[in-house]
Amino acid sequence: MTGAAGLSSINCTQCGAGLSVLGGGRVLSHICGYCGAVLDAQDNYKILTSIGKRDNPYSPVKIGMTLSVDGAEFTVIGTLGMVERYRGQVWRWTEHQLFSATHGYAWLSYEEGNFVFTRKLRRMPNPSWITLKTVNNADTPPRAWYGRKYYRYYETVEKELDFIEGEFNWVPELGAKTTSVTLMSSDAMLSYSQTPTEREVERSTLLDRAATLADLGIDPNAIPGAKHHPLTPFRPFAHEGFVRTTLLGFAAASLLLAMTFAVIGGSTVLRTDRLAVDRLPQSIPFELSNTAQLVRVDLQSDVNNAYALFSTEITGPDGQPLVAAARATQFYTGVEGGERWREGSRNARYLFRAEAPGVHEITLDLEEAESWRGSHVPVREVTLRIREGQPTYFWMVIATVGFILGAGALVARRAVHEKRRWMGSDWTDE
Amino acid sequence: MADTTLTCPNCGYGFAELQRATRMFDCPSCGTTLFRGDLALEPMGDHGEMHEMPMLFGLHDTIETGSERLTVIGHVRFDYGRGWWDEMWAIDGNGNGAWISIDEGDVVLQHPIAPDDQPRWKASPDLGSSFTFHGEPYTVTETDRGTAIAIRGELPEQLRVGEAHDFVNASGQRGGLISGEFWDGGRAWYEGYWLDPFEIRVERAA
Repeated sequence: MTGAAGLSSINCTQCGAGLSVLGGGRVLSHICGYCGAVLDAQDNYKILTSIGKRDNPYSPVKIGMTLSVDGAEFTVIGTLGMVERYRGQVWRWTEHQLFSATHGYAWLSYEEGNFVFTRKLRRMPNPSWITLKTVNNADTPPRAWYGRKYYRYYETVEKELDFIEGEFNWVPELGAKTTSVTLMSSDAMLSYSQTPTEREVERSTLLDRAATLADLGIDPNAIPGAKHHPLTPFRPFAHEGFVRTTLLGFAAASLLLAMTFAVIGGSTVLRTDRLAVDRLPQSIPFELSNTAQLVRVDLQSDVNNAYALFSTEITGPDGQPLVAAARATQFYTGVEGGERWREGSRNARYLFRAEAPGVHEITLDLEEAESWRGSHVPVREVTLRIREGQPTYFWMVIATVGFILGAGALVARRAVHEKRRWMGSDWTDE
Repeated sequence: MADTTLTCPNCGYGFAELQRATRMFDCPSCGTTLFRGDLALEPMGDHGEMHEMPMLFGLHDTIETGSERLTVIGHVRFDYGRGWWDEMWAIDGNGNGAWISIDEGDVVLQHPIAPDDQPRWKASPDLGSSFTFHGEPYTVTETDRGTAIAIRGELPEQLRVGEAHDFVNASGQRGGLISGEFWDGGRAWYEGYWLDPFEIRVERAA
């Protein structure tokens, strides 16, 4: 309920110190920062108990500071020191109770340089409650649905109250423990928190550090830098989605071109009948007219369970050697363990570029041949085919790989960010 | 449906756009609270002091809650001793009304429960009392007494500044909220649900 107007300060009923009254009508307790008296804000600030003077936990946020969150104006009215202990490790952070005359009560947490805004949900997520037992019995990380987003289990924390000062819409007790099961989406956390007397579901978002510091009036140079927080948003490059889609489009186009080039055969300028290898070497003339594109030489032998190395030499229209190349054909088959196998190829090829149009000549010879089986004749015949105007798909393949790597790098960057966000999760599949 | 024939008996101010369902309203010209009887307007006294406070939304503002679009036409402020809360009477495009309670960021939208459907209590039940309404278990989580201290705009029922009533709020296990109001010789029950103040879209009155 909205607090009575005009009440802006009181005197501590234990030590007499002046205390600002910043919260609203639902403030239940006021803890004096000077003497530690816990006062009943609903009953003339009667002393409920006293925790004594305690050292403030470090936080740049002070009671009385104001900030704006999603258009709502909040005032810092209280400070809690929190501690979590697990297997000998200790984590400490501060939580500040906020009050807004229009939006009620919320929390501002300061942890490792980050500011997190937390508020209680009135409209429940689905499921409306998740317990530690639910988590322990789950085969997969528990999930929840809220505000058109999925949340996945992140961690379970048992936090303990270590320090209290200021106004609160409840009555905090030193040493009180709260167990929170936390789930995380891309931009927020849901915490199912339970104390011995109360259950609440809260939603937390990471505030922009620079804007929050400016809002609170805190000098950024006077506080430590922020460590990575699981809610740190991914910052895509400018037009990243468009760039990624374009890269994948280019990759598809270049792959299509590469496949087209691989299928296009050019025009045949020489095709021999089967040439008996025992009548090699043979020289065969052929005419080339296209010097703009590559010439492809194909050899096909009847090698079987054997190896055959053919040499070729091509001379140009001027009679000078243009290309000398050796290519092997080898083909093996067999049965092993009841299964047939084959390897190698009876085909071989190479590409070259003609320097001038005109009549060329190719000389084909068998350099060596060897059979896997001792008495078997390794090769008997070979055919030769030469095609000009041969497009090459090599660079298209390179381009395809490049474009895919580019798009992959963008996807990988996002994946690395996600992996880093979830590194702190305590979920294990065991 | 608007009534264009009424004038304030105190100052003669004409009410051009008064809802037919409106039973009482305050005169913006002279501050007199008026009750609309069967035949004439009846002065009911002063409309009280409505102190300026930051508010999520106010009189004549239109709000969208996701499922409903409502315009606030009436505003009552209740005092509970240590502070106050606001009740807004709002109507949709068809003239159907709802009460919206605003209490430091706790916002509840409620519709009246028909008399033959109301919980059984004729007086304010105790804190912790339980009952079932339409299959949902409810527990009384708050009881107190409120006094109307200021009235603005149009309201569907008769209410005077200084009038007090006991009230209870009962929370349902599935998120519902039922409120009961009790006064000498009468009671009223309302059912509704919480609104998230961060998700309410407000169109401010010009």
